[in-house]
Amino acid sequence: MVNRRQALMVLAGCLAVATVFLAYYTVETFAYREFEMIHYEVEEIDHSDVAWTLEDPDEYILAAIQNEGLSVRARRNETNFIDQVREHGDVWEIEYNGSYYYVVCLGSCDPHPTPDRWVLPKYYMINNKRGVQTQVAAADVSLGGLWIVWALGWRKLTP
Amino acid sequence: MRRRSVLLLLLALACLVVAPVVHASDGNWRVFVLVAYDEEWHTIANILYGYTAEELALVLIHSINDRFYIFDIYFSPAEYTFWDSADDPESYNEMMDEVLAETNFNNQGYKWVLIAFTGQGIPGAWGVCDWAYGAVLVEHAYLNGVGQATDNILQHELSHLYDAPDHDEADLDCVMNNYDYWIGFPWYYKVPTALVTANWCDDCKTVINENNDWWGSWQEGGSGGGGGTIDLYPVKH
Repeated sequence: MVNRRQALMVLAGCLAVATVFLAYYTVETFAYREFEMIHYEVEEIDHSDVAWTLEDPDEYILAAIQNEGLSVRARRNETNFIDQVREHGDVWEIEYNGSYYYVVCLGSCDPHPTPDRWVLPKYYMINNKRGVQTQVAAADVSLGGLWIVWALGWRKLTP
Repeated sequence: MRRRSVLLLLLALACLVVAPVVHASDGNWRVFVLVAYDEEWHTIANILYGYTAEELALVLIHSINDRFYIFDIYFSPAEYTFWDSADDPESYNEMMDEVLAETNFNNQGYKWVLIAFTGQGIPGAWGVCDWAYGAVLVEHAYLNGVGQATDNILQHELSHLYDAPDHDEADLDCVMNNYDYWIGFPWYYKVPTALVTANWCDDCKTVINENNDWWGSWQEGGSGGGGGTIDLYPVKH
């Protein structure tokens, strides 16, 4: 028979595994890679205090702005918007023609690298801080709650 | 008597109309498959699904056959082989080159294809297709908010062997569509649309249907075997 103390030990083990997975996912999400393709998608926002003014847009970020909500793909060597973001301290909120935008950015490999090879690419988040922050916060709260339950149970059972 | 004659005439006419249809679907392009799997695939099949590596491969290929049925294409696993994948490949190209080298795959005049399964991550890719060799490399995928997607990856890569192109188009319900599909709360990430649909668009259906003779050989009598094989050597390019 499994007593309550053993059950709590199992729970602690599960929590530890979940924590490791979460940490791996977070690291994987923000891992820097050399991408061949960049995807932009913009969302108009009311205002931003940190936004910088986009003065020299390349055709791809311009297409993303003109087609809000649609993902626009560019070859890495053909777009310089991502370089401009780096120059502005990794700020993904921009002001263009009096409007403010938040830019979601993904990176991937070339889906057709050679005439004979086709690739179904994985998409890596270069910037999707809002979504990831929400997810990480939700996961942290859940894990934190479970740890508190475990700690209280452990304390109660420890003489 | 007259009524009986009319009925017989109608029956004969019905046979004439139905016969060509039955004949047209009475066979398929049988593509023999060399199935390769690595040690990680073996582990996933055992632990996650309770199958052997070969059983899991077979289940997936059967599900793909249900989809390619409309093109009279039938993938028939003929041999299984183990592939010792390197644990830390630099790129998808390296991984594909490795599986081709290790299996020493020979497509025997476009009659065979290689389906290689891996349980480890392919760097930067869910799947790779090498048109010249007739080989596809597919990663096991079970994703948050999506579920099992290995069958869709396999379908996508095999479709490339029949010249179906990639699409990049919002809201296009096609397994060849690479357009970003948003997996919302609570996961917040994007995958190619190919991972969430098993349908082909009309353009892709037309292309695959036109090229269904590129691989394999015509087998009379459906997927159950039997009948004579007409050895055709399709012109691929």
